[in-house]
Parts: sequence; structure tokens; C-alpha cells
Amino acid sequence: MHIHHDHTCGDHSHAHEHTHSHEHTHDGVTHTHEHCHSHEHGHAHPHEHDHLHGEGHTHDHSHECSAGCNSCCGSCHTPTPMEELMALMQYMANHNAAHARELAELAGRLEDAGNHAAYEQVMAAVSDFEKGNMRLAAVLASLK
Amino acid sequence: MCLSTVYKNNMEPASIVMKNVMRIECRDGKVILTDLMDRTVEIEGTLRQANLVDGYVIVTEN
Repeated sequence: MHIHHDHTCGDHSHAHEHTHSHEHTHDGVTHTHEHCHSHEHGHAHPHEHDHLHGEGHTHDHSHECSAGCNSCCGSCHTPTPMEELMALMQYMANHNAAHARELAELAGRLEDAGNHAAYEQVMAAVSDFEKGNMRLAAVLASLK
Repeated sequence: MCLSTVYKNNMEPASIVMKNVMRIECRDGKVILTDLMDRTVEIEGTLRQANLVDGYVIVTEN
């Protein structure tokens, strides 16, 4: 995905910022991650991407990497440990809410089966789930 | 709907390929993993076992 691009064709200097996916292979495992960076064309990166120019046309071009995979990532956005933690906590909050709904459905089936005492206990558990989720939501809100 | 930890060949800590995996695709002889942060890992191999209760997956690398 191309975010920003300055292109001066006269002296052919470009400075641009963009995001793209890199593919790396480590120990037989290939992985990709997307990141963005700004650079001038004095060096090269192994990627291809579209450019949208002022004239409204796009074209692809590719670069070769000259300085290794870690040389270009100074301004890349990789998730910070806190961002990962937040994402996990948000996931858990959503996950717990889904489980609370599932438990409520099970409670309903117990009620349908005529076991009202069990229904009440499971609904109490649903309530506990919801209280826990409210705490999680409060923590998430305070961290944002 | 739980996130999984994916291991390569053996289920041991040193063989963990990716944690918090939310999506697994198998295509073109590869197993493609995506985690909660949308990062991907590709392994040339096959899916051997997925335990969705205990949240682990084992991939056999070619």
C-alpha cells in the first residue's frame, strides 16, 4: 500500500513513505510482515509496489536490498509489547463476552430441561464473567 | 475461537513457530499462519494435528 510519494523527475530524486510487506526466511520458516518507512532512492529494498503520481497513473517498480533485512527498519512500525498486550487483552475481553453468551445459552437449556437451580447457578457464573469483563474494559480504557 | 500456539514437528517450547495464531490456511503445499497482530508465517509442510480445546497445532515441515 502506498501512502505518500514525492517524485521529481528532472533530477530524478524521490523521497517517499510507504508501507509494504517483507518476506523473510529464517530457519526454514518464511514469514511476512507489513511496515512503513521513508527513504530516498540512494539505497534499495527488495519489494515491488505501485506508485500513484500526480498525473493519476500508477506503475510498479522494484528495488534490490543492499544492506540486509535489518538495515531498513529504523522507522518501521512493528507492534510494541504494549500494543501486543492491548490487542491480547481486547481479544480476551471479546472472547470472554462470547463465552458468557454461550454459557447463557447453556443455562437456558438447563432451564428448559427443568433444572432451575442449575440454571440460576450458571447464570450467576455468567454474571461473574460479565463483571470480569467490565474490569477488563475499564483497564483497557485506562490504557488507551 | 481460541487462539492457538503452533509448533513445528514436535510439541516442545523450542519448536514454537508462532503464538496467538488466529488463522491457519493450507495451500500450495504450505501452511500459512496469521497471528493476532496480523503477522504471517509460512511453513512448507502439512498440518498434522490441531487441538482446538487445548489450543495447539502441530505442523510437519517437509
